[in-house]
Amino acid sequence: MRLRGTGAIAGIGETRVGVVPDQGSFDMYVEAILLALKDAGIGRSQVDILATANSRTEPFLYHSEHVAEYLGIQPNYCLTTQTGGGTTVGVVGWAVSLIEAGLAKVAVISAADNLLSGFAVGGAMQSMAEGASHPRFEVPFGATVPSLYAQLAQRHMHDFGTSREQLAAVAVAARKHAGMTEKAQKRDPLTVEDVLSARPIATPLHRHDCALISDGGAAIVIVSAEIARDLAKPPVFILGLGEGHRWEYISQTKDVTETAAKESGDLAFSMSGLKPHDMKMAILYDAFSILPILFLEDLGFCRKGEGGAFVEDGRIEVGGQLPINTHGGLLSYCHPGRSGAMFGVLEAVRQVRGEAAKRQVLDADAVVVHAEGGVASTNGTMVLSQEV
Amino acid sequence: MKEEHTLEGLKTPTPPSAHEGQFLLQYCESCDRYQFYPRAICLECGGVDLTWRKALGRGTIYTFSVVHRAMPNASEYGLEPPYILSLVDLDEGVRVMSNIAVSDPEDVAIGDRVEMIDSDFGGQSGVPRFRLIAETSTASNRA
Repeated sequence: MRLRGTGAIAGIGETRVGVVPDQGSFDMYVEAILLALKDAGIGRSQVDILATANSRTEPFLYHSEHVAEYLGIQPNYCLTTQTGGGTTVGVVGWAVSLIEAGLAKVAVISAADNLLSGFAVGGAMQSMAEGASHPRFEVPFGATVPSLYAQLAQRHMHDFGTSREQLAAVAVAARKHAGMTEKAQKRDPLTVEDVLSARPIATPLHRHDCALISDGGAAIVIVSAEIARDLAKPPVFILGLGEGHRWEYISQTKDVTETAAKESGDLAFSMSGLKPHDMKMAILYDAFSILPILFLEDLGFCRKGEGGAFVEDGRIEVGGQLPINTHGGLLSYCHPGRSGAMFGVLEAVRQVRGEAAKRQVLDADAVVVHAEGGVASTNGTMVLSQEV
Repeated sequence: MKEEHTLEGLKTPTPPSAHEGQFLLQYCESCDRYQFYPRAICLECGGVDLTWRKALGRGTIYTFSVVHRAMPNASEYGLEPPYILSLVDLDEGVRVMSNIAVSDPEDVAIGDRVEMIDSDFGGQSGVPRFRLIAETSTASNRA
């Protein structure tokens, strides 16, 4: 397929993450973008494409245009999205398509927000719920973001016998990885028992089954493969891309235990020419502990219903068969909302480059990144590799 | 053919106000099927031969969650945690989100039969809240 390998991630940058009360979202965008350009060794004036994910705390109607102007650049292409998650992969696909079409050579994609410090207590929860639940058909029944995902988990447990212990294994692995990552927001070790005994949020999800609320911003620079080969750092080629959408609101799908990660994964893997078993690690969007289990199944790492068993016995930890979210994920590294997926992309890039320090998965030549948004509504999958 | 209708001024239908307090579901006369949430077109045939029919008010729990941490505005909707959020499969073949009113959240299970609580509708959704149908609930079966 034509898009395969035409773009490579050449630079990554991120701000401090977690509790960052002294820096607003806009400044985080500027910092992350400048750091990513520096990492790539590319000047501001070369940027043809700029995409941002606006901000809940400092929104601008034409956010990416304003960021471009602030940076003193005039990209031919600007895009401001209102969502992160799976949309992040969608935006990468758009940028790579422009590069493949010969219309652009350098893209910067960034997302940043202050979900933690930018809102009063409970404000972030309200803000996110306003997006994920239908104002007419779900809000009056007290839908919260966790309670929507919790219903997916509950059904998965009913259909396949998935246990709270298996959900906990996802949280324990994330925390273990965060423990190896200096910048991670939450690093103190978690046991399965800690996860089981934590206060319930929306059953079966308890406190540690739910992502953090954080501050933070990240950016990537994508360039054409030709430019990438001339840069100092090893390029991380985008071999496959795909998206998938089956529903927006969970009442509208027949089976809440299977997501459109199936479609996005099929597209991304078939474009790349690689298969799930070729992947040395995976970034699986972990807004809630049930999600990596669903995505392991829907992406084809195991059969539907076997995701619970897959995450047991250290299989998804560094040193295991398929380490996932080696930076700690949304569960333990940070989740500033729209930039959550971007931090996963950064970690995937580090792994492929061999820059993941204590968390390095040896020979991580090919990795997959899957992100979602809504309630497993918007799905995007990318396959990244050292080689084309 | 019903699709030769004008799209000008398309409006998502809402239940007629004369039937306030009743649980009405949108129904496609051409396809002989119900749909939810209401739309301007039938999901199956794309047509506009849509009417409203009174729902039986009975269904089966497809999935649920006991919500312990509620939104700040929960009390505006008469909700106090812990409360049950659920996807209910109505006997008409559509799925709605609602609450299950129950004194002990432990009494709820996937597969339980529920019936609507008259005059307890969630906001402007047109969808009622539900209670367990006592004689078929797993709780009473366990008793």
